[in-house]
Amino acid sequence: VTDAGVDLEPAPVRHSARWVAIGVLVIAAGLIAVLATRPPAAVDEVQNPVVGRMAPPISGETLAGSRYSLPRAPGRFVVVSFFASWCEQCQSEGPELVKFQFQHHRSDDATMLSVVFSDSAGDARASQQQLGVTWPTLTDSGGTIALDYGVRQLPSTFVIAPDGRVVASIVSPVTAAGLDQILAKATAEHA
Amino acid sequence: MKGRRFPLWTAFGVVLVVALIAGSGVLSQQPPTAAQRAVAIESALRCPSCEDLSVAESSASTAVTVRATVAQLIAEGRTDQQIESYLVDRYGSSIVLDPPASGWSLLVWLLPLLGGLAALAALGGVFIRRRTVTDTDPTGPGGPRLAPPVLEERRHFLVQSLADADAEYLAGDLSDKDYLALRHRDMVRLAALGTTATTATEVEAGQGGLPRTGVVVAVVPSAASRTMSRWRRAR
Repeated sequence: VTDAGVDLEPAPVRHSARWVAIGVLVIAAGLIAVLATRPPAAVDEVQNPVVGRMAPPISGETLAGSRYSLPRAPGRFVVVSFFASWCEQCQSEGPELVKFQFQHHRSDDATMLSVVFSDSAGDARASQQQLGVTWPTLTDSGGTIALDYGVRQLPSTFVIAPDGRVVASIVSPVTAAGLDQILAKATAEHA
Repeated sequence: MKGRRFPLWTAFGVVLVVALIAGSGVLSQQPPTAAQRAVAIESALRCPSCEDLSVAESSASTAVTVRATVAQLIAEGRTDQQIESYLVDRYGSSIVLDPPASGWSLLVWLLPLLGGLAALAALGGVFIRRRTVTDTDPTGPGGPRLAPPVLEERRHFLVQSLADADAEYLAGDLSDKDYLALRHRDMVRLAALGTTATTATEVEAGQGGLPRTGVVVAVVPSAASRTMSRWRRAR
């Protein structure tokens, strides 16, 4: 419709939809930025709450039937390995743990300790015998040691310093070389 | 009609608030038993070795251990908060199913709230706008200030309606009485829009736009002007 031959100006366009779209895009971009910059969920060395604190007490019955109690200040590094016979990755890291124990046996600066996690004593014993494990293995029948260390998955390994503090927590298969690096780092930091 | 609508909504709101308060159990004076506390705590904790299962739901050994620990801590007289702190101390804050209301996790709580408020605001805006359009008498004093596009759309509709009435009358589909009644109705509405357009035009004066009232004058026959004059005198 025109007014006496004069063209009317176009009706003004509302931009609310555009602003809503821009707002949604900004929020989506912000969320993507936040999620992209967060550390991945499955990192090898995790920040378990126990790391940096004095190690929770470890005591109980071993697979051999004897009693074991970890001293509050062990005087050497103690590598605590939570494992189960049904855990394939635990079986794959087993030889590395044996190697680590063998390498540090003479120097006596570090030792191994295993804790059964959600497994029967019989199966765990057979698994350890197959690997040739000679260090103590606790049954942890009530799961209280695992709870005190916040164990969620296997394999889980903790490194306790000679003064009794937990210096590392690893939730993937470890190697003897990897453990040596952790020990060297902890020694350098507290030299 | 308006007078009856408001108390109905108010009554609905009161009933809703009362039901929510009663349902939340805040008025209950009975303290929970140890078993009820244990279930409540376990339901709020994530099974340490599971994916998105609560300790109460899981049969994993870690969940069994946590359940035993919760029962033991309750028996020792610890509060719910102390028990949660005990487990967070060992497993970290992720052991709690509800994310913490701090840091980036705060977004999880705030975003739905902000989204809900935005949705409510949008809904309120739509209701207010619709009510303004439907409930206001266009011929009454101080009619609504409609946006130019809405005004144009209504004007176009009325002009089309007049043309349809003319066509139907000429085709013999409308009686003289009906035709005059329809025409009078549309003319009155068109005249009212013309007055409102003057108001809207004043708003956009300075933007170089043509006064929209000119459209009405151009397309409406002289009867419209007479109707408009009569209506203006009536004010």
